[in-house]
Amino acid sequence: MNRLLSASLSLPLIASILLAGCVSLEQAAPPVALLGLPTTGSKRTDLEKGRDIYITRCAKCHSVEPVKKYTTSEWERIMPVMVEKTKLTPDDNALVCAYVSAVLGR
Amino acid sequence: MNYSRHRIVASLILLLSCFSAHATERRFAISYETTTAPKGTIEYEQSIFWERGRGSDTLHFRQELEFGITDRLQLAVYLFDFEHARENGQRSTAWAGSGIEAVYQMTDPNKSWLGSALYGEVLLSDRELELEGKILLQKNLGPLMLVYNGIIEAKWEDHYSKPVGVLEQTIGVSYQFHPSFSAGLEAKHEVALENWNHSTGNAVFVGPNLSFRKSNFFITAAGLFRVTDVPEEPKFELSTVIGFHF
Repeated sequence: MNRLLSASLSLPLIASILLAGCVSLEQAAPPVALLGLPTTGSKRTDLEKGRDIYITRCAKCHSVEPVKKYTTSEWERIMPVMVEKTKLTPDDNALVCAYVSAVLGR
Repeated sequence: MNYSRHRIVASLILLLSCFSAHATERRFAISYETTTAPKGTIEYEQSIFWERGRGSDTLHFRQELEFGITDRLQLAVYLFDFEHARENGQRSTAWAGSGIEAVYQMTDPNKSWLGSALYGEVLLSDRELELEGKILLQKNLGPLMLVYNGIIEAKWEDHYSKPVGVLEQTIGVSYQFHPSFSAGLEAKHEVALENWNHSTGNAVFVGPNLSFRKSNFFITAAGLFRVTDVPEEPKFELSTVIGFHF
């Protein structure tokens, strides 16, 4: 009975700790509209496509990683590996890089 | 005996060859996720399934090649499933079938509130035919992933003479502690229906899972313990999937 009680108490606690550690998709990969960039037209569409690829193809093997978790130089090392892994075309790669750069504020 | 030894040695060589290459990943060993292989990729998966029952042990090996046809459609070929069994002191090794599998993603878990996919599988051996359909659901909450699989399976066993239905559902939760490491729990509920009308009982299995990935390689394992009283079903199951992609 005690075991059952402690299990019922610890499960919600563990779930709360895990959920508290969760970063929302909007925080991990902010929508282009929230970046506050003065971009319009095709540039904005390209950034949206870049984000789309980032949250779908780049997240097939792992959770969506927060863009700001890594520095520019780290992204420069990560991207070639991920491009090879996900078979991104050079155009798709350029779109993702543009989106990552926009989030990092470069 | 030599025959079975040769097969085991061949499998081990195949497994070791995996480690010298690169690979990609699944976070669950018994449940499927709704994400499919990226278009243009080919992935090799080696599954090893061990079940321990009353006086019996079975090792099931599957060699699978997966192809990302589009970003939503994945096809796979099961090259040569085989089983090595020990029951009441008798050992046997047999071909367990070859088959095909298709997964079509309907909604992406990162673009929609809920990820969903349809799964179909056909497996044929010299003793039985299996048709399997699944609905796959997935919810992503940052590094936390929840999956549900609803499964219906139609089998014709004993040289296609004995129809059996299996209704199954699996759930899984996995937390990504690092892009290379996830851990969680998986559970399975299974009801086998002989001739589609006589049930052997509700078998429920629960246990932990671990997943490790590095570069293009991954290994995922889940150890499930039976928690209901269905003596015909195994007491323990260990599923391991090792994969790499090109």
